[in-house]
Amino acid sequence: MLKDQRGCKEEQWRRFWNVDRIRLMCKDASTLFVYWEVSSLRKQIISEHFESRWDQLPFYLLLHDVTDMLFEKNVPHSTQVIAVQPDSENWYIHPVLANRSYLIQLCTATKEGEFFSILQSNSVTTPRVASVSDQPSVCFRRPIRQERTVQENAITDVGPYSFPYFGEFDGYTVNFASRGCIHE
Amino acid sequence: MSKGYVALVLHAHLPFVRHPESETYLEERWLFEAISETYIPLLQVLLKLASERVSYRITFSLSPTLLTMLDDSLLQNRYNQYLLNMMELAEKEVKRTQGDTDFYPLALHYRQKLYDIYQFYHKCKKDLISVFRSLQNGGYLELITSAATHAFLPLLATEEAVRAQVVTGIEVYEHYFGCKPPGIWLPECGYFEKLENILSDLGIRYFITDTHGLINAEPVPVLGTLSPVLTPSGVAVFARDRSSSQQVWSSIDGYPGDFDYREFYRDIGFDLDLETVKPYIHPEGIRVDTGFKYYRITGNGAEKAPYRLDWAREKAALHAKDFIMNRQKHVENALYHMGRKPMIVAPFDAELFGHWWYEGPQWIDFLLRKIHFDQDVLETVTPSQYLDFYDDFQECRLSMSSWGRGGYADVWLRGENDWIYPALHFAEERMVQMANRFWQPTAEERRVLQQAARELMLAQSSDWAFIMDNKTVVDYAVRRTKQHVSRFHQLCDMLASGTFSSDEVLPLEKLDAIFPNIDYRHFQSKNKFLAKEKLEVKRLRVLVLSWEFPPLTIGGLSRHVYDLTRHLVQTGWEVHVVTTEVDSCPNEEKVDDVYVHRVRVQKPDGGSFLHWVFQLNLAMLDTVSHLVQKGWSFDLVHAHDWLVCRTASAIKSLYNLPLIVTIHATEHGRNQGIHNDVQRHIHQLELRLVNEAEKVIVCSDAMRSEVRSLFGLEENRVQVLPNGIDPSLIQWDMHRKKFCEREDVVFFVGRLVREKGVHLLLHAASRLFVQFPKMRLVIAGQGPMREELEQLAIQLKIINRVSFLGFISDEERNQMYAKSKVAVFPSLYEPFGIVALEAMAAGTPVIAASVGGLRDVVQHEINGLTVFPDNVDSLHDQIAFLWSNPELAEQLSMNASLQIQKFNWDQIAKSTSDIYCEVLREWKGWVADESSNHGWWQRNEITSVDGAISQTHGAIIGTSLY
Repeated sequence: MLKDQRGCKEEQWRRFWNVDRIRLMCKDASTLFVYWEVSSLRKQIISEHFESRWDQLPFYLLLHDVTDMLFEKNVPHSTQVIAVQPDSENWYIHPVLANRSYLIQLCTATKEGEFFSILQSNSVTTPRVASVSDQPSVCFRRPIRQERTVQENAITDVGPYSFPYFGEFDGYTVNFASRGCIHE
Repeated sequence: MSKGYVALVLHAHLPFVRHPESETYLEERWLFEAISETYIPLLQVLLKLASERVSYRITFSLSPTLLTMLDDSLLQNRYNQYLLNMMELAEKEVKRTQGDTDFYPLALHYRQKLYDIYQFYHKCKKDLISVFRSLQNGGYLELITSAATHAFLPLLATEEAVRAQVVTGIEVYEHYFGCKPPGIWLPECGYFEKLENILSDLGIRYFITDTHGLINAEPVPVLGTLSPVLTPSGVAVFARDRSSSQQVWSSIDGYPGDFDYREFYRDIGFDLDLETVKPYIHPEGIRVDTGFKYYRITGNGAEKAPYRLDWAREKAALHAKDFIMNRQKHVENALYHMGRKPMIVAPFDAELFGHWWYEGPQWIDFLLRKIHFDQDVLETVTPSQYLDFYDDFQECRLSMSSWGRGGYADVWLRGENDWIYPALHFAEERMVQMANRFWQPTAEERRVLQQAARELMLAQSSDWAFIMDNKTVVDYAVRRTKQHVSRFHQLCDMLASGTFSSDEVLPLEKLDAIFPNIDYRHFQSKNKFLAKEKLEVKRLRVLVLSWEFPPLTIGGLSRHVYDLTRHLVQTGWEVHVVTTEVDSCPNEEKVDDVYVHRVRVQKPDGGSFLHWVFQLNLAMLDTVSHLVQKGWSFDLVHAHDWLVCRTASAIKSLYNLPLIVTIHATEHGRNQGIHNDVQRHIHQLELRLVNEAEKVIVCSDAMRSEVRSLFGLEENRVQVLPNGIDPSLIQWDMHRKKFCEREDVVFFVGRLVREKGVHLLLHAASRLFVQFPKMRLVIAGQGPMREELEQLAIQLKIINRVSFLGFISDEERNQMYAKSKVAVFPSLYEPFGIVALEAMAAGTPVIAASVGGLRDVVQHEINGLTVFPDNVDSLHDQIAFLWSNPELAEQLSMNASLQIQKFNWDQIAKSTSDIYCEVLREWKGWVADESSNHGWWQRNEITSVDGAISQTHGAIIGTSLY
């Protein structure tokens, strides 16, 4: 089939969209797929902050097992660190466990070796694989719809809230003398 | 009385292949072959059974793409032409094979079959859908729907896109069948955990999963696959029965592989010389199947014997009998254990029957007749019927599964096709943004949005990734994916440009004419926070960046931004604050008519405060990008202090917005110089922030001098606006205690840091306490110097007359003011000195160091007393002087109360608004609209659209499925 002008133009393909995103996908019970992209703006300001060229920063994927927990509030059950290159854009992760929830982050590291998250993915749950020792716990119900209600939060309290670096910053002054922050 | 049930489920689907631009696309033959070989032969069987009063019930899924193609006049006419060509070929084949005892009867058979199909097609006026509908109305078929373009739902990115696929599928069904579908065929049986909620919301009663989808459910289904279970949201799940599936599907021992059945891969399109078949294959001579196949499978080798119709028919009958016998055994065995009648679900691709397995329709004919006439163990049933038989079913949670190779997503997510997902997901998220943004589109915009939805859905068809995996017509699948994604963005760019005509949409509407009644609004997010207000509010909009906002109150910034913003709203501005997330507070809410967007700071954050601040800025930037992508536009940005520098700078440059910065204090001032790398880093951020600002607001003349000298700012770029104080304090309390009625308390409130000079106060107190035996010192506030200050009080031996209260609430603070004789603020550095104003408002005499903003506020012996900075003697003398002169103290507090009126927030917000408008006037050349309701400024344009893709920035939005 001869391609007309429209066809040629339409078959051009963009791999990058200048967006910040990382998406974790489940391929099967033991394999995950992740792809990511960092926008030029984010690359620029991260480079500025760490005082390093983007392609000279170290990069890692941190795969967290966040089964039955809120990642923001808890320490993951386990974390797998995978070093990746600055120009990497996707990764297959195998093996992972069945019936576990995972979340992945693209990170760099400070000169002190602390990870710094650049992008954080959605979480996915790998499919469950039944084991022979499964004991059925039976609950029968009528095939009817459930009505769900949404509860909204509201401010209930005003007071002195803490944040993780209160020892270093009290809202006015940064109280540490020599703690380095940037790649020097 | 039967002992159990069989549910035969046939899923009919083809991807949307329709090329009005050319008649030479081979892929359109997929539909034509399926009509001739599967759909009409099956309908013929089903109608004949019905006419002979054979009782049967079959479930038939007709995908929305297939329905649309069956209803399309262009494809109907092309099919008719295809059929006529095949009939012409049949005539030639009858002549060519004349005298051949093996092939001639087959040629006659094909000619007759084509003739019957032609008759059938014209008898129903090319409307095959009406035949399905009549069979459903007659109680023979239960028709169900599928996802709009057969997207593999587990690999979509957003809830909105999944919902749009399902809702559109339902609407197409309703259009053709006039009722809601009772169930849905999930494309490729692809299920993922949260899908049940969407199905339940949309009133879908059941779906079908592969065997392991149910077996792996939690808890384990006690009735196995012989009974449906209910998901927690109440949708019923029926599972494919493995053994019945195996008997039909298996390439090794499945029925279709029987040696007496017709060989699919021996077709005259390939076997005969090119000249003979040329008029019936592709015009460029590409050989294709014609449907004229003269051989049977014969065996595993290459040698094939002629096909025998009678042998094949006999086998079909035998296989139908075998199928029934096995199901009977299964049912009889299970009935004993189950306590209710088992149900065997046997789902198949409809195109297996007739197209791939030529004898398939005949097998179904035998199967249904034998079930009806020859036995009473089994009965055919539909899923809906079975759900009505019993009151309750086990509840289970299912995880992801499909009926593809490996049972999950292996077919659709691998090296051959994983490259499509970044583009598909980006398009999906852009569609959600567009749908959310165009709340009330014009007719033209609606057309573009509808076509964009069509293009996206067409790109999402699972068929393209499937073809890339099985390596058949890969080029075509790749081209289709790229074309639809490209066309989608072409349409979005048209919307973004805001200037387009219907002529530009028309070619794509003609090319990809699927779902004429599609509704793009199905891509709108369910969480429509702010969506409606966005259209209704036509005020100027300011984006305020502040690292803290109530209830997060670490320093004084939080209260300042809270008071300023809520008063700004009253001056007519629409205010959006982007700030840090706090537990127990929603991330998006309206507080006193201020829109508050709280951002979550990701961890790991580099393990230090400065990295944390940077992480906060990344999160703020993402949030602002989301707002812009949702259709919000802002007129200016107001940033508070260095902590939000990165965000402010990036937003100014990304969206070309004027920037106003409030510097509450400088790092240099706080530390009396820059002494280390951390301070240098913060100083650099402050420098960058003020240099990028159109206008810098500071709270005092002293701060203006400091900022100008530190950062080299021109005079006209710095404006002084005092801080405001708690409005409740400004009301003069006539019942306040007089000086002599107050307790002998010297009160200090503030952070316990060196710059506040509390150590000076302790030294002064040690001498004052000797002079005034009843005097006490009360120190309120928290900070890193508290322990040091307590030690100092011990060393000075005054600890028994000094109280350290720690953090106190506003109410406690006011109580302390009310009962103290004097409030003392001996600061070394003070940009403004809000505490002095608050003390004045409370009617408490004030003694303050003559530094920074305090110098603007406290005038010596007029509204208070001032002391030399960093001077204990001066501090001691002035406190002693006031203590000894009650009349002077009364006069000072009276004067102060009169002067503080100018520090009310109404006035400060008005002045801030004036600065905003002045900046906007210079930035955009806008003029004031005196006729507006507010007598103030109004937005001329309320809806902005995003730029072309090349300018797109930001994190991705849409409701993540995971």
